[in-house]
Amino acid sequence: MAYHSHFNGDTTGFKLCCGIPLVPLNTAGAEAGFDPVEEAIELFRPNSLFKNFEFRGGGDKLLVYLIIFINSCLRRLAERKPGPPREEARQLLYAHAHDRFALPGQAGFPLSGLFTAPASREEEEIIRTYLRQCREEVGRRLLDRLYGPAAAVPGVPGATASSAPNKHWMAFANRRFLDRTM
Amino acid sequence: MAQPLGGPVPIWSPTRPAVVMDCGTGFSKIGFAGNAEPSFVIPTVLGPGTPSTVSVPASGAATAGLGGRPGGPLLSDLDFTIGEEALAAATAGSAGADLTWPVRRGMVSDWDAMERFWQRSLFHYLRVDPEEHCVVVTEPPLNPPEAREAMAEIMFETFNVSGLYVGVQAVLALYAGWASADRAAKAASGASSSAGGASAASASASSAAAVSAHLTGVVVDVGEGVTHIIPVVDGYVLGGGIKSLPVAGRAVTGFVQQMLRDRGEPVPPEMSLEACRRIKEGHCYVAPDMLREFGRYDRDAAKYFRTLSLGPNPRTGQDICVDLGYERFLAPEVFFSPGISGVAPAGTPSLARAVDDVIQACPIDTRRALYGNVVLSGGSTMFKNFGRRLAADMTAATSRRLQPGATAIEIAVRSHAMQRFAVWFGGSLMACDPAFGSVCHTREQYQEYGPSICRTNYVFRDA
Repeated sequence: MAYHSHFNGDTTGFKLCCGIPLVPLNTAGAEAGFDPVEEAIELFRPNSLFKNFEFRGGGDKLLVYLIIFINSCLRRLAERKPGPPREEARQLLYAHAHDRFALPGQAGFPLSGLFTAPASREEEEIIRTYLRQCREEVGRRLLDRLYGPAAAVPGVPGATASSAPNKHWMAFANRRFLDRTM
Repeated sequence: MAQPLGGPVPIWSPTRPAVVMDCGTGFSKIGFAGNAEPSFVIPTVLGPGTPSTVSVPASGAATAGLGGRPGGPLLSDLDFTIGEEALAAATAGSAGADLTWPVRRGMVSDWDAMERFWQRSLFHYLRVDPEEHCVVVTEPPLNPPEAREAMAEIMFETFNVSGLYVGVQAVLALYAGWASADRAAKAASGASSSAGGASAASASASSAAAVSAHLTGVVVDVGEGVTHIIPVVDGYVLGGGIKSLPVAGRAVTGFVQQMLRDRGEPVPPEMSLEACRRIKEGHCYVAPDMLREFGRYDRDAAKYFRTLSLGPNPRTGQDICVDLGYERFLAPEVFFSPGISGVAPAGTPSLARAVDDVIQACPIDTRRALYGNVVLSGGSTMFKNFGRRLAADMTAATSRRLQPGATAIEIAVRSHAMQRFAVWFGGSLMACDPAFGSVCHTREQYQEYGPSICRTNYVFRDA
């Protein structure tokens, strides 16, 4: 059984937009509290193994969108063989996050049908800013997972002092969650 | 009561123990009754070559099946090997083209090959004269009676054994589970454990009723090709409740292979299956929860990640080193979350769910007894914490259904020392039982009545 989001309940108290709750992201830095980005990174590895997923609410839709995005980040990094060093990876992920991306309702959006299209111009603007913020946060925190904390810590196999991304994470680049890619 | 036609001649004696052969899809366990472990555990496969000498087949001489070997077409019947020798001969020659696997999904599909397999194991491995011994063979659940007749024909006509008993694998596994728990209790209370088989036999002779009460339970038989969940009540298998799952040892090995391939580990493809099997047997375990286990791996990398040396690469001569990571706990997880396996079709239930379904399909008055005696059998149940995880998942599933205030259902998953060869061990114990003589079919009975007598094999009989 795949793992579901914590932000699925109706009493979350967050503003809804296009069917997903706009949970404020915790950009405080090192001790990031539990927010959708942290959840997506944590559930990325177990959920990628499953072929089916049952959507239980808005939180799940955001979770799956971010999981597919994490997968696309890993694939972007996997294109460079051997793996890029940390600094280069940081730039690659930043560029990828701020790339032009499709919004719900537009062609190329991976989860079309699950997200409701934005009703007005300002809703479109809100969802675009939110998704871009999520993508940038994912890129930032993923870097720590792939290369270890900024000060290199020995003992993590496959990542020697930020020279190459953790190969146990990169193995998930080939898997396609629900057969969708971004 | 009717006397068996064999008369008072004892079926079993220490100088002529029964031969127990449990031939499964992946491995065959063969040995003598009275022992705690089978003498030989060999893959159930036939291959080319002459026994004890591996001969490379001449190019162009390959014909279908086992013909065309150095003995020429006349002696080709004799030029075959079984087990590990067959695998070695096949890899030395053409890549596995001439291997025959006679057992598929637990059932014998190629009787000719099975006969040769038994011939090789009786004469070449065990080195017995079958005329002097009784033979105990095992059959999978829902085996058609015609298959039992075929076994009888082969055994009595070709090998002229003195007696045959066809045991149901599930019942033998239950027998083993109960008997070894009983023996452990006796040993703890001070009885001598040196004559282990004999004390179990004497205990079982106490009363048939006590035996039948213990022969109630659910057997979870996880083999190489298929997993069977078999409810047994009072020694009789409830055929309508048997469930089989396509997730078994091979699926676990396949998962390890897939993960290593995704990571780009330098394992040469011809060694891949064997290497993954070694990894599976040596380093895999069952985690209580998949998500928390990922967290543990992140926090304490040095404790969980391992590097394994697989020996030299046959082509380059260099040592192959692979890293082991998440597959250590993800591979056995395919039993409990079949969604992660590429092999299991969508909708395959988890093992705990399947056992629960099986018990719910049984008569209502047997259910609590079945929940209280879930017995594991088969090599693929040897993962660390397998029993505990199954019990935990089943408890979660059943407590969800309980109304507030109802008594919780006591679930006991029994792991015991003989799990790996539980079926074989059960056969060994059964053949040592003094009542065995009355349930085993003798040569004289076969000659009088024909193979149809082997359609029924009793577990116990009032003497």
